[in-house]
Amino acid sequence: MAWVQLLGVALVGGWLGWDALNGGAVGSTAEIAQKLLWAVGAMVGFNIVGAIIGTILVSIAQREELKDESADERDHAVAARSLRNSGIATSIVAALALIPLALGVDANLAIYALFVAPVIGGTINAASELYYYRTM
Amino acid sequence: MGKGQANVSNTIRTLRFHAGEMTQAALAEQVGVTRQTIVAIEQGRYSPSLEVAFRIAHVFGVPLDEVFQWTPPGPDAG
Repeated sequence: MAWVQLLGVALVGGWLGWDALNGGAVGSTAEIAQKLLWAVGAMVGFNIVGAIIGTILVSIAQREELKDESADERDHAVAARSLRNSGIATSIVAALALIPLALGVDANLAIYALFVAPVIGGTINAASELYYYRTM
Repeated sequence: MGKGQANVSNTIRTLRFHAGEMTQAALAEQVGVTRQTIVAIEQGRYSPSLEVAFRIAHVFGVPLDEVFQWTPPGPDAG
């Protein structure tokens, strides 16, 4: 259900971006952290509901129950490559986030970086799975 | 295991035909992989592990080199 994950990131990311551009990035560290916690909760909830709805829709389209197959060697290979890409992306974003902090930019950026780095890693993971399942 | 390479080909489609039009799902079940993996192998997009390759050959009752063929890369391949 990588598509669901990507859609959830787009929706929540869009909301956070819109909020930040409209003054939402200003406030105490606790206020921003609370907002981002709600965003994490929203993404988790979206993924769960989206996976359930997606399973139902696919089952209706295929006219048979969508069964969860056990992973085989190709699934493990795809997962390993996707996880590698995800780890690289997370590390790079987290490291880059230190640069503006070192330059003295508002420390609230660190809170956003804590949120954005793993979200980007998860997004890269989902996108990589979609790519590798089509090419290998 | 790994990304499919152009110089590895296979005759799985032909072998399935000669096995009474065995479906990809039936082959996948006997080999112990998903149908999507059989599709990827058959299309040459994915080169299976040696064990899965042997299992496929075993299902059809033929030697491994009757299922998979490898052509050495030409001198231009580097």
